[in-house]
Amino acid sequence: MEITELIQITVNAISIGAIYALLALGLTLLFGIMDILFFAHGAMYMLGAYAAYYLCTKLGLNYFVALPIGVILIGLIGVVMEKGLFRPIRNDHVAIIFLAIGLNWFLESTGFVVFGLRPKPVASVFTGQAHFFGATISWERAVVVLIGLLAVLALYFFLMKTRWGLGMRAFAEDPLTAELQGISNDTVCSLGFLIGCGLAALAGLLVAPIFILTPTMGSHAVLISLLVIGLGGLGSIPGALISAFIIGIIESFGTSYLGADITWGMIFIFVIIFLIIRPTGIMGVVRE
Amino acid sequence: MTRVRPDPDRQGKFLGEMKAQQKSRLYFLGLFVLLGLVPLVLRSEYYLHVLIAMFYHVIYATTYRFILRTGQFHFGAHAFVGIGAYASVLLVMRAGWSFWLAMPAAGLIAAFFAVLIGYPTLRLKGIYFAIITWGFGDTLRFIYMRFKEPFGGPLGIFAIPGPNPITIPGLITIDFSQKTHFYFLALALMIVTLYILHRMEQSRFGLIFGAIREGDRLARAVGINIMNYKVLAFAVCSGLGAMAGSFYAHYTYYISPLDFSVLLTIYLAIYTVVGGQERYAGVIVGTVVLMLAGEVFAGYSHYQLLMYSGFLIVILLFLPGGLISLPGLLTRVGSRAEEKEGEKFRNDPA
Amino acid sequence: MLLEVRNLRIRYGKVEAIRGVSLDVEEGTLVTLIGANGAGKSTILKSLSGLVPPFAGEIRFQGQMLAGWKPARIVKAGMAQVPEGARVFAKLTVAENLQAGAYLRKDKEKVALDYQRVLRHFPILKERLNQKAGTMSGGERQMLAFGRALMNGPKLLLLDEPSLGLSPLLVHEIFKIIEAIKGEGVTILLVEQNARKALEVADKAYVFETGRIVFEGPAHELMDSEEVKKAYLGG
Ligand SMILES: Nc1ncnc2c1ncn2[C@@H]1O[C@H](COP(=O)(O)OP(=O)(O)OP(=O)(O)O)[C@@H](O)[C@H]1O
Ligand SMILES: [Mg+2]
Repeated sequence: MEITELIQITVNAISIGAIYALLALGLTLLFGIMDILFFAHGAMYMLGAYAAYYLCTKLGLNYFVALPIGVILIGLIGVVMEKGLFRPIRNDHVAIIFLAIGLNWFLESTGFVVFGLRPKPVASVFTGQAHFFGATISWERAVVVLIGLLAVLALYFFLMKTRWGLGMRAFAEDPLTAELQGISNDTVCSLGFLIGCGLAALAGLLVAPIFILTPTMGSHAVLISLLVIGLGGLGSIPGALISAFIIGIIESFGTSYLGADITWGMIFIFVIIFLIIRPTGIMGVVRE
Repeated sequence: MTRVRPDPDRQGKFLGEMKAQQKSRLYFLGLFVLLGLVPLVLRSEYYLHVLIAMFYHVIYATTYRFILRTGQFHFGAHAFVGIGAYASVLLVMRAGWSFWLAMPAAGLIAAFFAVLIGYPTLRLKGIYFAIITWGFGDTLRFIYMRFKEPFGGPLGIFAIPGPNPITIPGLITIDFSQKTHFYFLALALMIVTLYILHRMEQSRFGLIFGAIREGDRLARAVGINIMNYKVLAFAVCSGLGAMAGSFYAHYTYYISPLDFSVLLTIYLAIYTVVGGQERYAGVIVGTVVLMLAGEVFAGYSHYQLLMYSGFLIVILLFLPGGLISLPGLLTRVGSRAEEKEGEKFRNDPA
Repeated sequence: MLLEVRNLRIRYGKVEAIRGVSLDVEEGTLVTLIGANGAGKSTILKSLSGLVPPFAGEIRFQGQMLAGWKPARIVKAGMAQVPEGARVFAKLTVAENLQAGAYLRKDKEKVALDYQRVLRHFPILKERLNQKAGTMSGGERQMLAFGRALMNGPKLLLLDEPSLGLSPLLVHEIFKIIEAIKGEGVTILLVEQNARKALEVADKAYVFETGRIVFEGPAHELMDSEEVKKAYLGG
């Protein structure tokens, strides 16, 4: 194997891993803070991708104008969902999971009805490729990596360094005691949905020029992100990042040497066997 | 410290529950007898088919619910139904087994996989279990698609033979050339499954699951090894579901990986919640009502899923006990109104 | 009167945990609620903080009716609580726990002063600022919870069994701190099982029994009362 080839595969791994990391970030946040396995994350991602199509391709907006609009819009949809649907049953964990499942497939089938079956194109903003150390990466993927990285850093900064982040972490541990400090549980949950759904939408908007848009892309993505956060350790953000890149590396090497479909089968089998042996994931997080 | 007082109210309730149980047992018996008579009057192949599909979906849904009731968030019912279908088809078509052997064998194989997956993962919180079972189901789907030999690849397996004929010399021959033969087989499978589940729920087993729902720690403190029970329940239910999957394969003559996607599990989850998971009757009602309603959109699967998931959301928010809780709720509302009426009367100064 | 409670009734489902309780807390005083397990002391504190809605009755704080107030609004109005069992945020550092206490406050300078005050009262916390709260001992956690509540900048501090599970030495220390904080002008409503200790420091006391007040009066009178002695002070 040549060294440039190795670099190329690693670059591909990073670009794949960044997408998975971005996908998993919001999901693991909602799980870590609110203990919700938010299946509808996939639907929000799908909506994000279609937002790119409608805002850019249909309305002709600049991609970088569409990006914040889409993220905020879908984040707000998340807030409305939290207030209208999740809040009334917040203390019933089983019902919440079913509700998230219902929402995901409700939005997916609505997507079929509204968006139709035909894949939708979104023109890529960046054409051409960047070169370094003999490896090439298309600019549009480089942008995904960059924005993904920024999102991770921003989320980390938000959680660790801001007052609201502190409130969220306090809430994650003990909602009642947080409430006693004046950290309103309602506000934290709304904020969590805003950020979680916003991140899902961001992932969708970013991949829209690269991937093929279909309404089922969400369910597929949710399974992948579940595997990512499961492998990483549920609720752990560093775990999600590590496992996203592990999966990115397997996928990148696998596709280069073995072909795409067998690689995905291997990833499934690898993750499932790993989880069967060590169900708490890489970071070993267990929440009672 | 809690004070323990004898609660006469509660004892009365307990006796009441016993009576209600006997009553519902009678209802079920009556229903089965009626269902047994259906083919005598109903000749339409279409309606028979709808009923047959209902029967095996009731098996999927009730076994799914049983696992749910052990406190595990099962997301891989499709995996085990699929194992049942593929295993029995391969045993019949490749190994030349009789269907009557292959079906239970397929159940055993699925149960084996259930133990393999369940043993390490069932001790964890339900969410992990959800991820692993879903991933397992999709891994299997990948394997079916990828390996043409022996799984038939993405196109699946065609021309699956029906069950071998049964001949009772001098009396009748059941050769599965008619829908009614399948009808009785499906009905019998459903009744056996419901009976097994019923017995499990009535036994020590069921009591333990009650305890599990109250909180794992409680049951553990009482010294019950929940793990073994959970694994056993998971294996038995997966095996029964797999046998229904085997029936499905030999009934439709054709299976493909698409039949065993996560959507199957989603549908079962929706049937369970919409009907109400507290009781068997709930799941059965959910399955029957939704499958009938789904017939309206037969062939338009997106609209069907739209309706089902919409139904699920509405039920979760407004009728947490599911459809089955509706009659009880209505009578309670009625009696509460009466109560109030009485109060007003008593408070009336005149 | 800083706090007035009138005919408060609280229900958990159909069970009435508090059945008509009235009590007063005068500004600058230390009032204690004592009573056996399950008498309903914590329930009262929870409802004062807005965590449990009352079924009937009224609560006035600084003359304002608290009916329908959210916990955050009550905290802002100047009522803080140290919940039963300390309940610090285990995965947050000591410093972050204290910051969480000042979550709602915008007055930066005052917060900084309160921070200094807390570290003065609880020097042990100063050494542990960057340690995760979950790794501390029971006594240290109690102090942290105490400090966190002080960071709320309260006029009225509700303490739910701060001495529970602590060694006699630590109990002594906690009570010294309670008196010191009272000396700084903070009004205190103290729930205690350790009735003797509580009556020693309190100005006024209420004795609870299954959701009702059975005795009330100046703390020293209760301490001398034969009945109270027999029932709550072990003879
Ligand atoms: N969330 C709840 N749901 C139902 N009942 C409750 C709840 N919280 C408390 N109770 C009941 O209300 C009564 C009063 O409880 P509370 O915790 O206020 O007592 P307490 O005086 O603080 O006791 P302790 O000294 O043990 O802390 C008890 O009988 C308790 O069982
Ligand atoms: Mg208490």
